Amino acid sequence: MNELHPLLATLVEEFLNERNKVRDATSVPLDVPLDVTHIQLSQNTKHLLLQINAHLTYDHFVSSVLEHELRTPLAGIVSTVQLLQAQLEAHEAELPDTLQKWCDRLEKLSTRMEFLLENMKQLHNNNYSSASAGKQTRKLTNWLINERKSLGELIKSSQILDLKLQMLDESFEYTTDYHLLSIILGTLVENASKYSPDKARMDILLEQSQEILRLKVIDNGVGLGANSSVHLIKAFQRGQEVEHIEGSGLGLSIAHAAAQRIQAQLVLYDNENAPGTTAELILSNNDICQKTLF
Amino acid sequence: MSKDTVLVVEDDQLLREVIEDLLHIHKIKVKTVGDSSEANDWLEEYIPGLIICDLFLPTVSGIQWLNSVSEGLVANKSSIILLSADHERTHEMLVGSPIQSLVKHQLKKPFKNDELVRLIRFFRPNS
Repeated sequence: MNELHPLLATLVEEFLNERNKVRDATSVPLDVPLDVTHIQLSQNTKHLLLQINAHLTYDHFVSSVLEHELRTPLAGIVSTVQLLQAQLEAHEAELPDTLQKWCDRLEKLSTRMEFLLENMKQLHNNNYSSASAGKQTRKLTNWLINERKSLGELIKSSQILDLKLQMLDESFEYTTDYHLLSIILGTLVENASKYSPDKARMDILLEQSQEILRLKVIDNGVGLGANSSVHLIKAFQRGQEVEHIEGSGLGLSIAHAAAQRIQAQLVLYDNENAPGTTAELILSNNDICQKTLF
Repeated sequence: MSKDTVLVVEDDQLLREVIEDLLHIHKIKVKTVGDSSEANDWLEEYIPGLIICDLFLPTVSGIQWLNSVSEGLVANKSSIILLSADHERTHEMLVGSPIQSLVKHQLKKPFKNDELVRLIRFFRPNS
């Protein structure tokens, strides 16, 4: 069989240690090599372990090797676009605006792809670290104002992204994995931009009411009906297994996985009495610092 | 070719061509190769002042290859820029390696053309 994934190898080692303890206690010799195919397990258990190993190995391949490999053609595209733009700027008077617009579009698409690749990797790394590894306590409003600066990269150049804070106490602190929170917010903004027309306006709203903290990304785009990503989220919410993720689904599936990781809830719904969608992240009350608010 | 030629080791042909075009526009002398074997052949005759090397090459990692030719690079004080997606992992691979002191920068793909040109101008000798 293939080499064991590190997590599974650790599990097998633990298992062997346990058996060795039993052996020591009972004085029964037991010589078991570190290879799942040779361990004395039932066929079903062995089959299950092999399946887990295949999943973990593929997961590792997708998030590390594939992530790196996809960056190479992406680098070629990004650099070529930059070369084109430099040429356009040098011949500004002779070339139509359309070419500039297409270059801008290519640049945005490349930025989105890089954003997805980076998120895939970060989420993967986070999944294999301990639950508290990335946690920090920060002033949420400061974090959001800082994030706002980089979110502009993820929307179309003609669109407007506005930030609104409705906080009872703007100095209050929140403990979470802010890297994952950035992934979620970036993905929601990117998704809102994708399903909104040029010159559309989107709002990020941080809302604090009683004991609930909500981070909303509100757009006036096409709404849920035309957004295939939503079906993916709904499938997750129903607990269905989603084996094949394609197209626009990838971003939201990453956001959903990251939300689960920080014990937050991600919901999407159509705006009331207005076109567009609201993506709402409801943050866990447990992580709010008691000393500052409640 | 003199020491001011930049050696680019990148297995992706299209990205190699893009980097080559970019450096030509900026009048920077460049030699591009696709793997470590081709690079070794070139190094038998020339000494680069600066090497831009991808972390993953077809048969060995970029760092493994650079370590294998480190003697000449250290003697000639060549500089290295690594093209890498994972800085932490690259750093782990670099620690204690013969080329550690030669690696001046790790550039993440995709990169800004201006940034690459700026780094080359800064680290290339005689520029």
